[in-house]
Amino acid sequence: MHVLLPVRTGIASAGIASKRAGRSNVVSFPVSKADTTRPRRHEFDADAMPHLNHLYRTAMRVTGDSARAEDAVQETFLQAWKSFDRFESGTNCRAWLFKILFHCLNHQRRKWFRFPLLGAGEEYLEANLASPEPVASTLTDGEILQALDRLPADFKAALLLVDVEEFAYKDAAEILGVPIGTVMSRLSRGRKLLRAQLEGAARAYGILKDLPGEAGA
Amino acid sequence: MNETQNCEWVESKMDLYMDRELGDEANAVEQHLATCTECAETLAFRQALRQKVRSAADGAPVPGDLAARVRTRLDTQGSFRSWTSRHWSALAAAAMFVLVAGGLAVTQTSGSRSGVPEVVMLSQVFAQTSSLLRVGLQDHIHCARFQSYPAQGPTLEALAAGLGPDFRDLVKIVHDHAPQGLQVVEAHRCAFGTRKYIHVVARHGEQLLSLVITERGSGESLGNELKSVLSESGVNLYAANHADFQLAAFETGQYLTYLISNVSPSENVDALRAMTPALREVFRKAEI
Repeated sequence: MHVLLPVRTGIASAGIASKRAGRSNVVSFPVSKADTTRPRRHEFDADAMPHLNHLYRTAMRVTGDSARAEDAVQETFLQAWKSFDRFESGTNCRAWLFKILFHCLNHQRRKWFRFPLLGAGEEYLEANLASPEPVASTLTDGEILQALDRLPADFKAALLLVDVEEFAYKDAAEILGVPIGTVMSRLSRGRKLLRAQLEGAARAYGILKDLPGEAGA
Repeated sequence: MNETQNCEWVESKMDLYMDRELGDEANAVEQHLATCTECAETLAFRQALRQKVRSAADGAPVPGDLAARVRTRLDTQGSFRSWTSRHWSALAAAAMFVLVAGGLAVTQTSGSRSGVPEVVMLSQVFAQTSSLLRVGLQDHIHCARFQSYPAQGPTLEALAAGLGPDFRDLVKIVHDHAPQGLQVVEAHRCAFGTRKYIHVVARHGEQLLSLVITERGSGESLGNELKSVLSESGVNLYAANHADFQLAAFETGQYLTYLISNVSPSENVDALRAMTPALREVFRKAEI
């Protein structure tokens, strides 16, 4: 697989600690034409393996199934390894891997496994959120993930990439293969639905005592 | 600008501001936030919620041995070169050249056992077989007949994992029902143009067997081209042969399934017959 992807320089192998760093300097993903030798595994391990857990967690949220998530992640690493000789060290390995991951997830969904899109429809969610859920005493990680999992799949993907993985809109658009305006729209609608789901619990948890401006969300 | 309009404008820009995607307008948002408590609290809530979402997602469990399984997959299948349409175009062109030139007396290539190179064998398949026979046979020839897999290769479990959750049981099915002595040596997915395959290979000495599964195209029916020899579990089994390849096959609503080998014709059909109930169960689950 040959992936052309705008990347930001300077965050290539930086791992997860600095994923929001360097939001400018968009450049084209370079292809090393001269290097036709097979890269060694330890280079691939050093560049790609640090991102394994984040790829798996994203796949898990998208598919809702651990076996399918692992299948997509394994396929991602296999595809990445097979085309690693075209990947230039020092560029955005994380964005490249996420692009391959979403390619694999879409392939799973569209062609082979035909697993249903997880998450209820937007209209369904909005209709059923008219009555807020009982206020929880705390806002647990489990409640947040449940709310996230209920989002329509496209909204959830945008939210995972931008809010969780901290990709810039432009990178998220490249990864998902959609225009940047589509990412912004899905992100906005996804956040709105998420806020609506978590509003009651969030109040009780004390993120804020009141939620001005959220009543109509 | 009155305050209400200003709040609405800030609300419309709040996601972009929070994501540091706003550019020059960020200053105007910040000026408003400095004087508007409601908008400042709204932003603080959204930022806090985003942080909670990130924290919850980052804390989701990851299987402890996932990295080891990924590395095993790379070790076992990382060198496998799936065949692309580009490869096939070149192969088909070469096959046509061989046919036209009549150049059958070519030298032996690596991987060939009988002295007939892959390109010639495939040219004969292209020329002499029906299209649905070819669908299974070409994959067997390319991925099994002309590939070498180590007899002591990956474990059955590792091979099964490579097929993904819906089709991992195929390895055990072949292991359980292949003619005596044949051992599963490879399991993978491969592709030819738009057609994708799942392929399990078993070998014992010179005996070689492939279970080949592919999605059934619109209008494709084995009954149109092959001879039905018996019925098993409510499906018709078809049989054919080409050169020393024995082929048995059946179709379901979504898949074409082939068993191709160089064992005897009856052994080949019996093996597919034995596999059929378990295969249908795999397909039933996959098609849900």
